[in-house]
Amino acid sequence: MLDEFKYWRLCAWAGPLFMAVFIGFWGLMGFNLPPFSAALPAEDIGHYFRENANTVRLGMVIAMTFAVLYMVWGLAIAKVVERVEGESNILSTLALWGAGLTVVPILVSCSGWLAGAYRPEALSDPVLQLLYDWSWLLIDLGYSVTTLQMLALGVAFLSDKREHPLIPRWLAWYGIWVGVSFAAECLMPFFKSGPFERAGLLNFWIEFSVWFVWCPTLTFYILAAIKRLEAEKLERHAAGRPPAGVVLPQAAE
Amino acid sequence: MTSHAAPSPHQKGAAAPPGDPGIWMFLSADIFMFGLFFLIFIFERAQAVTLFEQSRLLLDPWTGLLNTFFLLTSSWFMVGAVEAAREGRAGRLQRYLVLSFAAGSGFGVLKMTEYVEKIRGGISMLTNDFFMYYFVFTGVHFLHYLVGMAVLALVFFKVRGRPAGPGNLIWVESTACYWHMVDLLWLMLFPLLYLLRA
Repeated sequence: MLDEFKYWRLCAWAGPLFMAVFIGFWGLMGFNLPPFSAALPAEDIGHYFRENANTVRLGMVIAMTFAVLYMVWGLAIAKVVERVEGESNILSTLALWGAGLTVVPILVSCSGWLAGAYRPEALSDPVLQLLYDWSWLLIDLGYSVTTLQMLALGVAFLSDKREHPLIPRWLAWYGIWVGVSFAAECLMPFFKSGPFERAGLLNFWIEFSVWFVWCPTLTFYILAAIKRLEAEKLERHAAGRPPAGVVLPQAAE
Repeated sequence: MTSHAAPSPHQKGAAAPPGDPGIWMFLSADIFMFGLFFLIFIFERAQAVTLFEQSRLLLDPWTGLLNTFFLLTSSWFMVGAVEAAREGRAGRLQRYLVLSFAAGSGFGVLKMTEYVEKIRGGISMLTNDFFMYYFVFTGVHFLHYLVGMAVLALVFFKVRGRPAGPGNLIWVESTACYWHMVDLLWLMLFPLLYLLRA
């Protein structure tokens, strides 16, 4: 295994790890899978923070610690995109910025839930409700940065000229569709019940599920693409390029 | 997006779908989402049949029918564009694309008029459940329509002055597939929102 690709692989595995942490600590320990309905009275939200303060604190602390993994995962994908787009690196840069910026709404919204759990006994129910609402509004409406990553990746993978593209075209289109469908989150602030509220069938269950399918599927294909790129590089060097004398092609070409 | 893409090898097979093979994933996912919309609507409608019926009567079915006519005519011209692209007739292809865009414009103008009329009459997506679904579903469909119109214009400028060839064909076919989906979704939305009686 080439050192260069060893780090690519490590970064690619950050995606599933991020997802596992996100589901476990943000989702289950943070009581966010699913969220409380926006129609729930402030007293119930207040009660939830006071009864589960330590669970929420731990969930958010771990979720915030590992949030950066999304950017790390984004880097592995961006490296593969660099090989697709060649000299121009605009799409891989956009995708990396999209992944990096996705960390921001995750971190900040987690800090909102954490602030609610920090001293809930001293805060009134409407204040705790505000923190809960605000965190959800931010994490849902911050979708555009992730959409930017998904669109840049989709366009890049579709422009792959290889006979067998590194990432299948259907997955490129699926990513574009997921990214665009996130726009449905724009409806969320207008509703407190029904399919378009934060815990609704569309704005929570469908939108989060389609992303949860995209992340591990793309990781699988990114790992396969890294394997191919590594094999191609070894093949090129076995064929005698660059000049003889270079034993291991560790440096970027 | 596949600016210089030659047709994929998959496309050469007899059973291969038209356009970019991958776009069918996008279309399927979209149709799945709208299918879900329709199920939600049917379910919610069953809970409040009277309200949905009273609200439905505030919509003008003739406007809906005229919009159906605009979209279907536009799609019919698009079929002409695909045939012209397959036959390699560049001039004819451009003419059909212009006609398709022109017919499609009718839908946009009429739909905007309808929205403005409703909003001026004090009806919005927050009025009741029926109008929530009406505005959200037709709104999401309208966004699809706008994307389709933009792609139609893009394809026109892309094929203009270029010799007809496989590079054009994949674009024209993919656009046509998407444009037909916009039709298909409207063909479900129109009866569901405008015609379905209590």
